[in-house]
Amino acid sequence: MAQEVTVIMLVDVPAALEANTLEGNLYLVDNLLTEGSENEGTGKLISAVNGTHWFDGSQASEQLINWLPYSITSLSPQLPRFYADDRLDDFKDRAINSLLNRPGTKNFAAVADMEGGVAIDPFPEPQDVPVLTSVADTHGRRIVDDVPLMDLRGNFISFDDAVPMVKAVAPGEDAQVPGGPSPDISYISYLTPQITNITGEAVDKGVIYPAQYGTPAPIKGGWYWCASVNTYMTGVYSYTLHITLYQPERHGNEVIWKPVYFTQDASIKVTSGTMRNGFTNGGLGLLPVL
Amino acid sequence: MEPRTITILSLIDVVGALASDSMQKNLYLFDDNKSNGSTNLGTGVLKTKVQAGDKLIWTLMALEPEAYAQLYKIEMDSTVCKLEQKKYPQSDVIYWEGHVLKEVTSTPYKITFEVGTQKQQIETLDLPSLIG
Repeated sequence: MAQEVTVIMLVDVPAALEANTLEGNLYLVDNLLTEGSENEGTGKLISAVNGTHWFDGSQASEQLINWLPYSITSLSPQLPRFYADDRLDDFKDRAINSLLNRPGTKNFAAVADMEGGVAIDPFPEPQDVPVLTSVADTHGRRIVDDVPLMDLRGNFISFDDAVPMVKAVAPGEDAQVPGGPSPDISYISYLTPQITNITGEAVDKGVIYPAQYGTPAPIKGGWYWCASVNTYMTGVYSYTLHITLYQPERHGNEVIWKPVYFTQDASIKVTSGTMRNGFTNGGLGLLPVL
Repeated sequence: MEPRTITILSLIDVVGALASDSMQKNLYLFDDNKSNGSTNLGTGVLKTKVQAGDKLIWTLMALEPEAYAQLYKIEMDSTVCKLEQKKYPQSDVIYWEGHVLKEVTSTPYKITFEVGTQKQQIETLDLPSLIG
């Protein structure tokens, strides 16, 4: 029977960044507990991949593994990955609309009315303007801009509010008072961890063929890692996930997500049974007609 | 230690829960407070370490991302934790928020999930808890 194995990877991101290790801060769960997977909910998952073969030993069905990473300290995974961006677009629209409808901008207001912009919102106060963060690469170059910072309830965070939650990189910049309250680093919604590669024994021996694929599913953010499994190669094989977490840092009056790289090992347990009729458990052929 | 915000994530196997009409072995609970003393992460009987003043946020995801699942209800001693169902702004996605009102030793709580296209309600029989 063809299977689609889903491996959910959950990371306690602030704890992993604080301790600088995924050990004890990463959990793997797949959907094959009843098929023989072991160590569910731990970092040492062994996924059961139960293949089938024809009478001549050749592989009879395709088994796929999908890996989906998430942060525990984050907005609900049920929200689209682009929820914060969509909310930011809406915020900008309302801010522009409010500006157009201010006294003294009648001509612009008329244009807004023509385009359906009739709702008048109060112009946002400076303290309500979300801080727009950037994502940096290894060398500190900014590769993505305008990522709004949100709390775990889906509210924007302004720069002033972010100060006690995001550590400053330059000494003397931190708002923390020595001996005072420590920052609540688990208050903000962290960026989703990224899988950047899958390597190791299972790949080297040609048991799995991983690659990154595009998907239209909004909850997956456009990309996910998937591998087809060569179930001719039975046995237990390890593989290594290459994972990037993002550490928020304050640089002056900017917040930048710095990538931090980790690896995590997990395994697959490949078996292969003879192809059979799923209804009768007998050989293939016509179904019995009663 | 200052009060903090703790996220508690329910990961559920919707197909398994519907097939067995139970959350047993089909629920994995996690939080982000293990470094301060939470235990039993990755099981249905998570013990979340809390202190008075902490804010708790319960979120949910399904092992099968396409399957419907929702946090229908959380029940707990209201003198320990004040609970409220909320929605993220401009969405229909629900989360639950709790405010820990006092120090606890061990307070179990029950979660009722709504799963599948028939929106069947299944509750936890083995209970997770808040610990002090």
